[in-house]
Amino acid sequence: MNGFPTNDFVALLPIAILTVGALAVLLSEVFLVSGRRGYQAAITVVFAVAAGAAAIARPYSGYVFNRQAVVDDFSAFVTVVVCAGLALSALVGAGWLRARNAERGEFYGLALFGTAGMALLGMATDLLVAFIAIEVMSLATYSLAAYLRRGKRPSEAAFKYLVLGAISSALFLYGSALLYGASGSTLFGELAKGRGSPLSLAGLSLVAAGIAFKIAAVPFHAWTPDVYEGAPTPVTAFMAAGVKAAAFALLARIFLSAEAGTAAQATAFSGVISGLAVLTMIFGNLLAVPQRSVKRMLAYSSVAHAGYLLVGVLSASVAGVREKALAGLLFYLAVYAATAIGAFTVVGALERRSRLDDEPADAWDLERFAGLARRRPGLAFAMAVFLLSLAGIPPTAGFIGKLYIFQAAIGAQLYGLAILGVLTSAMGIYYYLRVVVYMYMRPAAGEAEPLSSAATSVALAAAVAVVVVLGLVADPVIRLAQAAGAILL
Amino acid sequence: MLTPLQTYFPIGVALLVAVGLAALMVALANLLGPRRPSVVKSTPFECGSEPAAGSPRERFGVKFYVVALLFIVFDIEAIFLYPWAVLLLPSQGYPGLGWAGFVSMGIFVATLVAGLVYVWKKGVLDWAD
Amino acid sequence: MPPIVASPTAAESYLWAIILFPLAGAIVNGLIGRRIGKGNVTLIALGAMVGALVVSTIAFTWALQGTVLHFRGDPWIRVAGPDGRALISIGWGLLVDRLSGTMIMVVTGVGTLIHIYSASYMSHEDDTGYARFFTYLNLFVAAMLTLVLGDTLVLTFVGWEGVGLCSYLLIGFWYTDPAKAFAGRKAFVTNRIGDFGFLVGLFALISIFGTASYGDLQAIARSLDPAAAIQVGTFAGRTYQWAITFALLGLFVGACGKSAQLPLYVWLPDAMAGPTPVSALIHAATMVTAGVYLVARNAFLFSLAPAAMATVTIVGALTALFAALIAFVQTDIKKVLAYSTVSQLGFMFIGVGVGAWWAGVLHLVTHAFFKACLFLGAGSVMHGMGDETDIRKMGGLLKKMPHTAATFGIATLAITGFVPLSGFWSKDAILGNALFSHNPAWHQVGEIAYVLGTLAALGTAFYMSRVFFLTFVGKPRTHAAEHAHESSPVMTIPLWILAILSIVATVLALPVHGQLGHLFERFVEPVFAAGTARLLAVEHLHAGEHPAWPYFAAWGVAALGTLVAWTMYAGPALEAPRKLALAFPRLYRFAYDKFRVDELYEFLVIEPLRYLAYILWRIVDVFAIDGLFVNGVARAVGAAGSMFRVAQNGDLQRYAAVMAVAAAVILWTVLGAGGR
Repeated sequence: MNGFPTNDFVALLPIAILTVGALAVLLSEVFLVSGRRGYQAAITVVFAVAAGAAAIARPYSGYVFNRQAVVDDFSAFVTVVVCAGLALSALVGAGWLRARNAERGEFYGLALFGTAGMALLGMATDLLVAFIAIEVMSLATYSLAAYLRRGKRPSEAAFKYLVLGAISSALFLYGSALLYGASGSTLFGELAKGRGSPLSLAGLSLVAAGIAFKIAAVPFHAWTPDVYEGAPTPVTAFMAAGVKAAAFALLARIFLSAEAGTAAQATAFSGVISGLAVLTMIFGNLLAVPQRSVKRMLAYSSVAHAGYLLVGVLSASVAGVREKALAGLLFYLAVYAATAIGAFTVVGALERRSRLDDEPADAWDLERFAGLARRRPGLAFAMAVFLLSLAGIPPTAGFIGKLYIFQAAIGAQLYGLAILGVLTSAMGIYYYLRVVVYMYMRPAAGEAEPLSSAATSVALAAAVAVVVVLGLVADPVIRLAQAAGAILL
Repeated sequence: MLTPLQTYFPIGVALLVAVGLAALMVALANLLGPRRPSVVKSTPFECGSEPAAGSPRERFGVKFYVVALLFIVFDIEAIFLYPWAVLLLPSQGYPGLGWAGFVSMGIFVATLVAGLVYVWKKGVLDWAD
Repeated sequence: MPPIVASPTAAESYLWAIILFPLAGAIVNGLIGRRIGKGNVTLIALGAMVGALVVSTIAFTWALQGTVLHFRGDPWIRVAGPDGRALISIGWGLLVDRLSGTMIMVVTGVGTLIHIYSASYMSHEDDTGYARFFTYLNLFVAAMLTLVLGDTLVLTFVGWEGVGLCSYLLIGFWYTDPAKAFAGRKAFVTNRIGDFGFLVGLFALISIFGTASYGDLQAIARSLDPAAAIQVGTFAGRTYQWAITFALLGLFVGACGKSAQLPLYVWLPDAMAGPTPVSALIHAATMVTAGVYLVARNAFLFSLAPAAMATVTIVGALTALFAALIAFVQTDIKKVLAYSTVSQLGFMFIGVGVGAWWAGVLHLVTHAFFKACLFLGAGSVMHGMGDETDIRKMGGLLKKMPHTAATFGIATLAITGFVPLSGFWSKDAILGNALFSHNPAWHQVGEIAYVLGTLAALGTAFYMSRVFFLTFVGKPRTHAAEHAHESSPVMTIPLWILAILSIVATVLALPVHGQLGHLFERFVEPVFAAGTARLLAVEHLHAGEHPAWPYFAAWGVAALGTLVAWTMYAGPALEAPRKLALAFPRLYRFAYDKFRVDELYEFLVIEPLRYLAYILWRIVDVFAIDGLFVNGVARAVGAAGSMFRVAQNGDLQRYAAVMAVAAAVILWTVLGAGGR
C-alpha cells in the first residue's frame, strides 16, 4: 500500500474551503427559521477570503495528482483573483437581491461552487481535470444566470448559455480526445509530443474553440451580449470577472505547453489564437458602438477585452517577453475583474425594476445615466473611474494593464496586433466616454432614486480603490504577477 | 506497434456490427412479416392506456425532471461505488486505492449526503404539493 | 537682525515651505473650501500666508547677513544636450539671495495684508465664490514665489505661467459678466504672446550655454568674452554678444507681456475688471513686476548686451510717458491707477535698462507699497460708494472716509515723488542714473530716457493729484458721495500699514554714512556685482558722485504737477478742464479713448486672425476634421456596428450555427496549413 498522498489534499485546500462554504450556505438556507439572510453574504465573503488566504499561504507547491494539477504562483494568483471577484459579487448581490426580495442561499452557494471550479481551472494541467473544472464552473454559472427564473429574460439567457455552453464543452472534449489520440496522454506536459500531426492540430484548435467560448472571443461570442444582458446583474458581474480570469488561465497554460520550445508565432495554433485576437478586438469594439443599453455595451466591452488578453497570451510564447506578457495578462485579469464588477454594479443600481423579475427593454438605457453626477455624485464618480479604466486612460489601472500587454506584444514583435490593439482601444473610448457624457453633461431625466445599500457601497469603494491604487502604484502587483508568470510550467 | 488511431479499430468494428445488426433486423421484419392493418392497431397507445388528450406539447410538472436528475445523480454514485469497492483493497499484486481512495470516496459521499439533505428539506422528495 | 534659524543648511532645507504653505492653502480651500464656511476659509488662506511670511522672514534674515541660501533640488528634467553636448540637467533648486529675498518679503508681506483686506472686501460673495477667490489668491502667491525663488529660468517660467493662469482666473473672477470674462481672456492671450518670447529666449540661452541655472550662467558670463564666436549649436558662427542679445530680447518680450510695457500693455487696464484686492496684489504690487525682476535677475547677461539694455531703456521710457498721457483724462479711478502702474513699470525698466538695477528694484519695492495702498484705497472708496468707480461722481470724501483719504493722500504724495517719501528716492535714483549712464550701443539713450521720464513724472504728479482732489476734496457731487461711509478696520488697518511702509521705505534709499551710494544699493550690490563690474569696465556706468541737481529738478517737477492739478480740480481754475476739453475736442477724445491702441490692434491683428480662424473653422475643422475624420469615422464605425448587429439577432440556432461554422473554418485553416 502506497503512502497517503497528503500533498494532493493539501493542494486542494482553497477549493475545499469554497466547497464547504457552499454546502454551509445551502444547508443554512433550508434550516433557516427567520427570513433574515444578511448573514449569507457575510459567510460567502468569509469563505472567499479564507480561500484566498489559503491560496496565498500555500502550504504545498508543486505538481499534484500525478501531474494532473499544479500549485504554483500562477494558480495562487488566479485563485486570489476569482476569490476577490466572488467576495465583491457577493456584496453586490446582497444589496441587489434584497431590493428584489430574492436573496436566497442558493445564490451564494452556486457562486461558491462556481468559484471552486474556477480555482481548480487555474490549477489544472490535465485536459480531463480542466474539463471537470470547466463544467463545475459552468454549471454553476448557467444556474446563476437563471437565478431569477420567473423572468423571461433570465430564463432565456440561461437557456442559451446552457445549450451553447454544451456545444462548446463538446468541442473541448472532442479536441481533448483528438489530443489524446495524438500524444497518448491528457497531460499538458505531454501535449508538445504530438506536435505537427494533423490530429494534434485539430485537437488543439477544437480545445481552443471550446475555451474561446468561455472567454467570449469572436466568433464564439454570440451568447455574450444576450446572456450578460439577460442574467441578473450581480451574476453578470461575477461571470465577467471570474469565468474570464479562470478560462484565460487555462488557455495560457495549454497554449504555452503546446508551444513549448517552438519558434514563436510560426505554428498554426498561434495562427488560430492571433486570428481570434484580431476578430475579437475588431468586432468586440465595433459592436459595442451602437449599443444604447449600457449593460449590453459592457457585454461587448467584455468581448473586446478578451481580444487584448489574447494578445497577451500570444506574446507570452516568446521566451524573452514571457514574463512581462504573463505579468500583463494576470494584472489585466485582476484589474478587469474589479472594473467589470464595479461597472456592472452601477448598472445594477440604476436599472429599472418591474413587478416581475423581468426587465423592460430600456432598463439599462443610456438615458438612465443622464444627470447621475447631480443625483448621486459618488456613484457617477465610481462609474467614471471604471469606464476610464476600461478605456485604458491613465492614471487608472486599466491603462497600466494595456500598457504592459501592448509592450509585451511589441517585445514579441507582434506589431500588427499591437497597433490594432491600440487603434481599437481608441475606438473604445467613444462608447465608454459616451456614458460619462450622459452622467456629467445631460440633465437628469427625473428618474427614481438609484438603489443604494451598504454592502454595495463597500464593494464599489473597494473596486474604485483597486482601480485607482493599482493605477497609481501598480508596481507591487505587477511584481507579484511577474513572479507568477515566471514559474509557470 | 499500433498508431493511436489503429487502436480505435476494434471499436469501429463493434460499431459496424451494432448498426448492421439493427438494420438487418428491421429489414428482415419488413420483408418477412405479414401486414394486416386495422383501426385498433392504428390507434396510438401509451403504457396500455389511451394517451392524454390535447396537444402533445402540453406542459407537465417540472418535478419529473428534478426526480429524474436526482435519480441520475445517485445512479452515478452507485456506478462509482462498484468499481471503487472492488479496487479499494490490494489483491493479486495490485496495490489498491488505499486510504487516499477511502478519503476521496468519503468526501464524495459526504457531499452527496449534504445534497440529499438539501433536496429533502427543500421538499423535492415531497411528491404531494 | 540676527538669523533666526541657527544654521544656513537648516534654513535652506525649509525653503520649499515658503511655496508649500500657500499651495497647500490653495489645495485645501479648492477641494473643501465651499463646504467649510467663510471663517475657516479665511483661517486657512491667511494661515498659509502668515506661514509663508514667517519662513520668508527666516530666510531673509540670512540674506541680511549676506549668506546666499541655495536649496539644491533633485534633478527634474534631464536631457542630452543639443548637438551631442553635455547633459542638460534642470533641478528643483531654490535660491534666496538679497534680490529674491527682498522679493519674497514684498510678495508675502503685501500678500498677507491683501489677504486680510480681502476677507472683508469679498465678504459679500457666497461661500463658493469666497472659497474660490482665496483658492486662486493662495495659488497665485505660490506661483509668484516659485517665480521668484526658482534658481533656474525654467522654474521661473513655471511660476511665470502659474501667475499668468491665476491672473486670468482672478480677472475673470466674476465670469458671468461677459465683459469681465473677456478682459481675463485678453490678459491671457496678450501674456501668451510675451510668454512665447520668454520661451524663445529661454531656449536660446540653453542652446548657447547648455544650462538654464542662474548660478551656472553667472559663472560662465563672468569670464566670457562677448566678442568671441560660438563654435557649435544653433548660433554657431555668431558672436556671443549677438546670441545673448537675441536671447535677452526674447526674454524682454516676455517681460513686456507680464509687466505691461509697450506694445503689450493693453491687457492691464482691462484687468481692473477683477476684484480690487486682485488689482492691488497682482496687477500692481507683485505679478506685473515679474518682468523687472527677470531683467534684474539676469543683470550679468544684460551687461554683456548693450543693445538689449538700450531696448529695455527706451521701451520703458516710452511706456512711462505714453501711459501717463492716457491717465490724464481717464475718469475711472481704477483705470487711472492701472495706467499709472504701467507708467511706473516703465520707470522700473528705465532703471534696470540703464544698469541701475538696484534703483529699478528699489522702485519696485516702494511702488509695491504705495500702489497697493492706492488700489486698496480705491477699493475702500468703491466699497463705501456702492461700487462706483467714476471719480467725477465722487468728491468730498475726505470727511466721510478719513482713514481712506489720509492713506490715499500719503500714497499719492509717495508716487508723486515728494521729499521725503519713498517714491521720490526710488524714482529720482532711476532718472539720475539714466542721465549719467552711457550705453555703448546707443549713446544718447540715457539722456532721452531722462527727458521722457521727467515728463512722465510731471504727468504722474498731475494725474495722481487730480484723482486725489476729485475724489476727496471739494463738495460731494452725487447722492452716493454724500452718503459714503468709511470701511471696516479690517480694511483700513492694511491701508495704514501700507501707507506707513510707503514712508518708512524711504530708509532704504538713505545714503550710507561715509560710503558712496544708498543703503539699498549697498544691500543688493553682491547680486549685481558681476553686471556692474562689466558695465564699469566698458564705461557704461562710471563710479563716483553724481551732481545733485537732477534731484532738485525732480522735486520741482512733482510740485509743479501737483500745483497744476490743484489749480484745475480744487483751486481757482475749476472750469479749466472743461474748457480745455472743449478747446481740443479731438485731442481730448483721442486721449480719452486711450489713443485707440485697442482699436488699432483690433484692426491689425485680431480681425485678420478672427477671419483666418473663421476660415479654418468652417473649412478645416467643420468640413474636413469634423465632417470627414471625426464624424465620418464615427459614422462609419456606427454603420459597421449596426451591420454586424444583424448577425446578433438573439436566435439560438443561428448562434450555434455560427459556432459550428467557425470551428469548421478553424479546422480547415490549420489542417490546410499542413501542420507546421
